[in-house]
Amino acid sequence: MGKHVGIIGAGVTPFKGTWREKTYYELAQMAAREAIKDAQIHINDVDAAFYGIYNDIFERTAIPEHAIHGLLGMQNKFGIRITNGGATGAYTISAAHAYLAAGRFKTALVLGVEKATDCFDFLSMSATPEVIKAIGWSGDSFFEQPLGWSASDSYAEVVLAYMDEHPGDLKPEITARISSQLSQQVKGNTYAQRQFDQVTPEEVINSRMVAYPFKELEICVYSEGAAALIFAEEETAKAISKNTGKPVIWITGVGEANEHSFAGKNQKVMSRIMSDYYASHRAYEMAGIMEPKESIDIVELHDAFVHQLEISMAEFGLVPLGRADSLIEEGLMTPGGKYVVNPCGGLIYCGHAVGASNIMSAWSARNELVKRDLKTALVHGTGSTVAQYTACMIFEHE
Amino acid sequence: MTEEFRFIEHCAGDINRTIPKRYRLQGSQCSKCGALFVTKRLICPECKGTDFEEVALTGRGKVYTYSAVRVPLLPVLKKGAYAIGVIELEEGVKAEGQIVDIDPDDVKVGMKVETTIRRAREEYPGKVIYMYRFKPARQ
Repeated sequence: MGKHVGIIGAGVTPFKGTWREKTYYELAQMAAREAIKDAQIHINDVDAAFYGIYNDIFERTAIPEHAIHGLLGMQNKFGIRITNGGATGAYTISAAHAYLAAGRFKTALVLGVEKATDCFDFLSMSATPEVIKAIGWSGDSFFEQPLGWSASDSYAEVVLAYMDEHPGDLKPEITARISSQLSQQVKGNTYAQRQFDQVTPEEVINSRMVAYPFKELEICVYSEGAAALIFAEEETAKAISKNTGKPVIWITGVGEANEHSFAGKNQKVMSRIMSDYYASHRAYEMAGIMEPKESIDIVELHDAFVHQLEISMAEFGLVPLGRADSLIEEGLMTPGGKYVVNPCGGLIYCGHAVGASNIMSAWSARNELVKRDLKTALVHGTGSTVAQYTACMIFEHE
Repeated sequence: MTEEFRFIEHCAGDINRTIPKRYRLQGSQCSKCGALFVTKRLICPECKGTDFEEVALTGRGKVYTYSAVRVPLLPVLKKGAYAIGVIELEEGVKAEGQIVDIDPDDVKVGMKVETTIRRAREEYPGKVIYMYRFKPARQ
């Protein structure tokens, strides 16, 4: 198990469609500054830095973290970059936790940053196709990229297989209601890209189809921004907490799983997100959670698509597979329900600055545990083709 | 919005973000302890400061070290050899840059230099990147 590791500071930049006036260097520094201010420590007190940056093409440099390290004042200390598709942020948290739990460091900075829209497409005279193309490079170069692979159709394959397996679940009116509810939840998040973008279920249903069954208002938006956390091992965390007067949020469980990316026997089960199942259950086991339905209060989930949010909730064991619509139909995630799901608005409304997204989710989970005085949160990141990668964390309020 | 304007408006942000340093060698100074940095900083490693003022550096200094590049990374970058050096500025901080208007074999450590603006590259058609260079100082 190793040493206990806790979160003692957190900060984010506003998430925006584009940050014209900032470089990714500066966004990274802004989030790190907020986190160290929150922990009331000096950057010299941080032993190691873990950078979550997804896509080199977005940042237009092959090792984007190299410049940030010195600019933060972390020179001559440990620094490593994690890149794991959409799950980059969650895996960065997992890596930092492992190093601290092993006793290698007393404190660590977990910093995610992404700057997507410096790409430009001359044919359409906009950034979007170039950004999608940059994401397209994530697909396998021999068999996926030549198909015109995109993140949407890749996740749609999984969702459609689930819908074949469980007809009657993931009903369009339910996915629309979930999106509408997330748009209400984002109102309280002043850092969100779409803080004032409230939509009705009817507007979601009538939004344009992007890749069946995903409609435009059921898909996360790409963002630019950064998020940072400060981790510390038990004794250091307690000392810093005593100084700041803010409680430590302990990371009591961590689990990861990467599936096969190709469908078929002994490969990917298309109707399931087994990575979510294994990662969440490994995190429960480490945290000693026997009954997740009873233990989990807050879920900060990587909602790339509303349909995937529903399937992920089922894979976490919080609703039955085939009955994910009970999240709304039985009021499990509606206001006052059993679970608080994506109080920050999720990636659909707060925004998806890939490397920073899951770290932003962790920032939100930490804040919500303290604000609502709840005990346990599940933080989740998914990524790669066909929901292949997952990392999950259990946070506990002391 | 015309297509030309959309392109300019999009790319302008991209270029403008780094103009203060690329054109004027603008650095940051910690408001608390006065520590000076060539690049924009938000966290001071010397003190706990997190507030900075942007300051224009003089651009004058002397060659601290350099190397002559004879096989350019990008053939379009420059024909022939060119010198890249680290310059110790009058303010005591160091900045990296190309040393121009001189044969690379004639560059000497300790030689006085000053900044000038040169065309660096054309990233897209119409998107020209300019950047400071160091040249031998006028006496």
